[in-house]
Amino acid sequence: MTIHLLRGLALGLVLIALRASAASVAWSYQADVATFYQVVADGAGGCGIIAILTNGSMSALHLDSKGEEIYRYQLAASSYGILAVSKKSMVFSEIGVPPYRLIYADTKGQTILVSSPGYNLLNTMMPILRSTLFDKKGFFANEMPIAPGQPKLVRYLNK
Amino acid sequence: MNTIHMLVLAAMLAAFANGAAFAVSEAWSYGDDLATVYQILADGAGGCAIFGITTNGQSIIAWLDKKGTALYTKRIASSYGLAAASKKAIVYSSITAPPYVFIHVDNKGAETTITDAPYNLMTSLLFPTGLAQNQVDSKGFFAVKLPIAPGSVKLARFTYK
Repeated sequence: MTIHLLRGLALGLVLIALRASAASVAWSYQADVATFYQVVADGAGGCGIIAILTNGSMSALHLDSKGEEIYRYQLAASSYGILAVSKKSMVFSEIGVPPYRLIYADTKGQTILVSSPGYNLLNTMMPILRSTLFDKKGFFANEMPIAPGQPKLVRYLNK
Repeated sequence: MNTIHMLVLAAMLAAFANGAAFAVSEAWSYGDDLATVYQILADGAGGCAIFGITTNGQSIIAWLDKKGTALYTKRIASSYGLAAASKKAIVYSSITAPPYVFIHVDNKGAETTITDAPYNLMTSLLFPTGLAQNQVDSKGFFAVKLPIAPGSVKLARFTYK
């Protein structure tokens, strides 16, 4: 019996090792986005986004693991980017008339404007919008049309 | 405790969790002579290490605990920033005459110089844009406070409560 178990275990390991390496499209998102400036995976299959919209304004967005938009905030003017994003909330910078502030928002639509009197609040002193394009199950791609057109964000799964 | 009591307790805990306040507040801030904060690395214990420039042009490395108290500060001629920060140690670059070195600092403040001559030890060749950043932990985040009137830049700790 022990030998059979070991054989079964070995077979299972071989099958796992031989499992096809692949990437499949789970969903894509376009809406009214003209440019995806920053994409930060939330660790649960979704992501936070700082985007320029087709009307020229800038917004912070949160998409869930199905590509559904679960949060949208129109920024006053600009942003130094997303500081943190999780399945339930995100923190991002808003640049406008001083004092600059951070926005703490959850996916239930609650928003807190974080400010500190006398100071501009920034996530970083350099306007570098770092993206994190992967999580344990897949990755995101910022897909630009070769011909003139609108970009889309595509979610790929590692399977 | 029987099953019903356990279920009631579980329901109460769930209700309490759902009703937890959605909030954020500034817990503390740090810095009297900071001109710039280039890099922030959360240490995972509520504190962080920072790399910045002081108002007199020196590079500064500071390791702050969860209350904002400095566990370690060092003003040096130049640096390529932090390579690592954890509950137990930080590692940062120190640039003097070649070879450039890393300094390992444990949570008691003991320094160990790491060198690998004839190589210069660097964090990233893309400075400062290539510096690693980690401004988040499970209880909050760190941000930079830039004074609107002339004054010193500060590092601030915000917690979700």
